[in-house]
Amino acid sequence: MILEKLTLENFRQFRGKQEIFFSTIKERNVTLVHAENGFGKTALLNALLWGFYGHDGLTEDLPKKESIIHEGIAARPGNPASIRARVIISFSHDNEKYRLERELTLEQQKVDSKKSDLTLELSQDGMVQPVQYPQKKILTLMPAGISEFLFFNGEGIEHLAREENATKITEAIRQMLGLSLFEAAIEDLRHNSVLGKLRTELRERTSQEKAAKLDEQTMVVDEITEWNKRKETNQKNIVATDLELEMIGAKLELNKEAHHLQTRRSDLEKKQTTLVQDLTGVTKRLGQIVAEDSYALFAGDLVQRGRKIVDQLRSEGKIPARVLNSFLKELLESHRCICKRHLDDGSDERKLVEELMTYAGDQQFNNAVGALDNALGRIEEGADHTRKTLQEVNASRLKILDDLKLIREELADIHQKIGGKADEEVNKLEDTREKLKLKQRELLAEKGKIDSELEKAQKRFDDLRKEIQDIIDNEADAQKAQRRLNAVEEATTLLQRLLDIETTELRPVLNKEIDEHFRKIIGVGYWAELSEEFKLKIMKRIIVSDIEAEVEKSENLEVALSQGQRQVTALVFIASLVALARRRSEIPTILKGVTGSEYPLVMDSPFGQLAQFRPGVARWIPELANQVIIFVSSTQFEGAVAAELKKSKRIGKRYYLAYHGPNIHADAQRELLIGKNNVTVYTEDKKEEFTEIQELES
Amino acid sequence: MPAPLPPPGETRSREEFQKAPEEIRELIKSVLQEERQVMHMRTRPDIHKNILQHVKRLIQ
Repeated sequence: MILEKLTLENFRQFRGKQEIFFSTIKERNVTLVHAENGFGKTALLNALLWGFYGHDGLTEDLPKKESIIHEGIAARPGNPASIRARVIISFSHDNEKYRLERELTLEQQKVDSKKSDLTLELSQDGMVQPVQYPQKKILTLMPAGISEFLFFNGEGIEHLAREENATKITEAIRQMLGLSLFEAAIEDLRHNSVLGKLRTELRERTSQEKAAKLDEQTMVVDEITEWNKRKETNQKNIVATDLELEMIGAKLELNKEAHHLQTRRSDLEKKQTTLVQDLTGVTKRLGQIVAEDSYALFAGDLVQRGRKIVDQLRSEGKIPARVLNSFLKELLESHRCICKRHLDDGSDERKLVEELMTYAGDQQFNNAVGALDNALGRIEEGADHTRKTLQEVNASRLKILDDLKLIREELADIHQKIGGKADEEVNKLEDTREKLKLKQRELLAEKGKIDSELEKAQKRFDDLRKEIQDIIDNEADAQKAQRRLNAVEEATTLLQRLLDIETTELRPVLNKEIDEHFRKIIGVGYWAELSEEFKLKIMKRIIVSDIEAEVEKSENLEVALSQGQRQVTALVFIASLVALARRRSEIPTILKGVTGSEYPLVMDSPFGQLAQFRPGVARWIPELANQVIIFVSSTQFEGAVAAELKKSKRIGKRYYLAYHGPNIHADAQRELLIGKNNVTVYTEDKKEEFTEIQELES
Repeated sequence: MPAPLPPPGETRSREEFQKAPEEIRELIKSVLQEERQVMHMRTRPDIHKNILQHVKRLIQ
């Protein structure tokens, strides 16, 4: 979506009809709207949101949401049915041109300001057509779930970088990159009203034996659904418990009585997690060695017997053969020896050669024994290597187990020490923590059980599916019903596979994208990491001295971000997501033309808390989206932001929101120089307040 | 300048998709189009009926 023009008519403080043309040139993709605080930046952002989504789209910080019509206009005498506010937005989306118009009469505003009228027109080949369900269409083009990532107040977005909003971020990624579309399709295909219905249709047209199996399959499907529900609840509980534990940990760390012990415990628990992962890896490696190479260790007896045979053949002079029978055979057939003598039938010379045949060796036999000899050597060497590797891997496994034991002992000790503190708050926290730890263990055990039950049920389902397909029905109807059922099952399986691939492949790409931009803006030392659950973390590396071992080692730590850093993180995240969505619409995935598109970034006051990061944001964010619209006050703009935007030559359009009205402070600066433009900030108007949009030279 | 595009070529999911039989590909495309129309709605009363219609239209 690219915004082309916004027309306001009596919307909030914008009196009369006023327009803004947005820059649509890719090289100069920034539209700047300058305004002092209170002059209409937030109202302008809300004009766009109201246009697209009506009352539901308005931002939380907009006061008096029910007053859409300019207060002065609304107060004038006249027919309330003909006094109105109107927002018109012209935009293009996937090469189609749209014109949206939303209006609200004073009559409607008095009854219920939430109910406005919306029309949407699509221009195609010079023809204008009204869109039948305009709101539905707009939501299809830009779902409300992603709009808060595209139209936002820059100072209020730092919450996105907070831990508790990880789910929101995950959801935004899934929506914007089209993954949620896959998920919905899978869920709907599996629904009882689709797959279940197809099974019923098949059952009605099929033999008794097959019908019985179909009934069983339905029961197994119900079981799988039930287990999946339990799995979902279990996962939610695990996440909630982990979060609670993290919070308790943070509280204990803040308490001076427990601070050191809790910090040590956090470190130990991190090490424990790493060691458990290592243990899993080492155990797997051991299993692999035993499965693939351990035969060599048990082949000692066989090798001995093989050696004996080879030695015997060697001592008997059978290998290596003194002369080959194939060579003698050639001489006899050619009736001529290599010494040129004739080997005529019955001659003494021929008899001598024929005698040689009795102890001549066979070439293939020679080769076979040679190969056996060689193989025996390799098995012996392999056995040595396998023995050595097994010892090494097992030694590291034992070392891990020892380390884990020490960590567990120290953790138990810390628990005792913290629990034994005289501080009541610490005791309570430790008690709650212990209960949560127990709950966590129970939940993990339950998870294991659910996974195993699900695996069992899934296997039974797959077996039944095969058994059902093997029963051949003669009736054409039954065959058709079977084919339909198979098609839906195949489509579901394929979609799940595609979803897995897309999820696996997108995460590192998005991670790289975010990290690259993050480093550019924040500078060295920090980096961004997107976890497998699409959780965004900002990391740093610290050097830790191990005094006992007299070494220094580096450790990666999650950074506790300042408000400004959180704002940058959120901005970078949104811009990277927009950049990836745009690139994704250009990549030939199966979602091309179905989802993923270019989106504008509309930011109200994005530089507020940024401090030293302002130049980075001003320089890099406009590179990520095709269109960037910024509403900015002169104090936020002057200096670094102005310099960066001037240098990059990205400003395509520029406007100023000027105040007209009676409330002008005596010390107010009435004139301002913005770029090459001299603007009048305030104009006195005794009767009415309103904001005037002035176009400036860019 | 916008970020550079990845090298041209098929994505792994598209390759996987292309391997599927024609009718399965058509079915998936139709279902995704159908879902796209209603993905923003809280209740989607006709989605299952519409998907079933696609299945029956495509597999005769």
